[in-house]
Amino acid sequence: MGKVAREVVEKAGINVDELVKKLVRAAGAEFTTYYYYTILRANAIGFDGEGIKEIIEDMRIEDRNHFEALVPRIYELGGELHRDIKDFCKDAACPDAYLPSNPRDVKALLQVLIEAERCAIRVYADICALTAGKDPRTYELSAAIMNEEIEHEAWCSEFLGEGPSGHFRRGAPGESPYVSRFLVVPKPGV
Amino acid sequence: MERRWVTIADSSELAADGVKGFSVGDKRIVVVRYRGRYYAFDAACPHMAGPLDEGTIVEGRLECPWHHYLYDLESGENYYPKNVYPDDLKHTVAPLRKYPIRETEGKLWVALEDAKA
Ligand code: FES
Ligand SMILES: [Fe+2]
Repeated sequence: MGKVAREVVEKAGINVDELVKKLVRAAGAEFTTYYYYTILRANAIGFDGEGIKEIIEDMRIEDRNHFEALVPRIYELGGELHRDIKDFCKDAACPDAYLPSNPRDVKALLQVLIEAERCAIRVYADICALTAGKDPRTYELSAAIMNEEIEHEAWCSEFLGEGPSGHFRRGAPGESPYVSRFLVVPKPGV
Repeated sequence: MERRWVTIADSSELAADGVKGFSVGDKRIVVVRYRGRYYAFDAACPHMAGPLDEGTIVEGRLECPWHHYLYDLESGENYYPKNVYPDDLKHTVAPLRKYPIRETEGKLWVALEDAKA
């Protein structure tokens, strides 16, 4: 834990215990989403399914990156991950992204994805609002993650025909253009 | 069961499109004002007892701050994640406990005894 790192956030008027709970829940959502997206990607088959496989893979890897990027901040602030992974998953900030009843229904699959991304955007909008002007490190991290969640939503929205997103493919799968600077693991493709 | 209408606040305490918690005896009630209408629910989220009185309104639905479930204001039914859960898991998502609420002469009244799920 960073003693002064925590103190400055407290002095700025943030309830650090509450903030840490939000960060742990957010990390839980990234972790569980990574898991569920693995199942969704495996089921993205056929003429329609293959078309969305690439964005699911980008979203899947980037959600894992979000988990990796959040964890150091949790510990810096004196927090910790749940001892039991079952508690960690149960407390995830967003619901489980289950495979639809009909796994070949690509539209239903996209609906699962887009709701998960919309939930994630709301999670980070909340953390950004809480930390803006008070905790620059958590704010920048959350804003970087939110940037990627917003792109994820836009890709799904585009596939669902809701409107163009201006999306162009990542240079490498799960490139994390915004979050990679926070990663403690090697950047993808490096 | 007989209705027991209790007054919980002046209606001016609740901002337009606002969410606020009130304690009535040992109960915690969340009141939502949305587009001029009032809605009252148990403040403990049926998922894991998160504080719905710290929730927000998202596209006309009440969002729990803990795991971001969304509830329909009219029915109290869960909207998300029920809308994307597979059929065999939809029943696992419980609705809010809803209370009748009315505004009379600037006061908010909630009927506690005939609470409906
Ligand atoms: S406690 Fe409300 S969504 Fe989990
Ligand atoms: Fe995401």
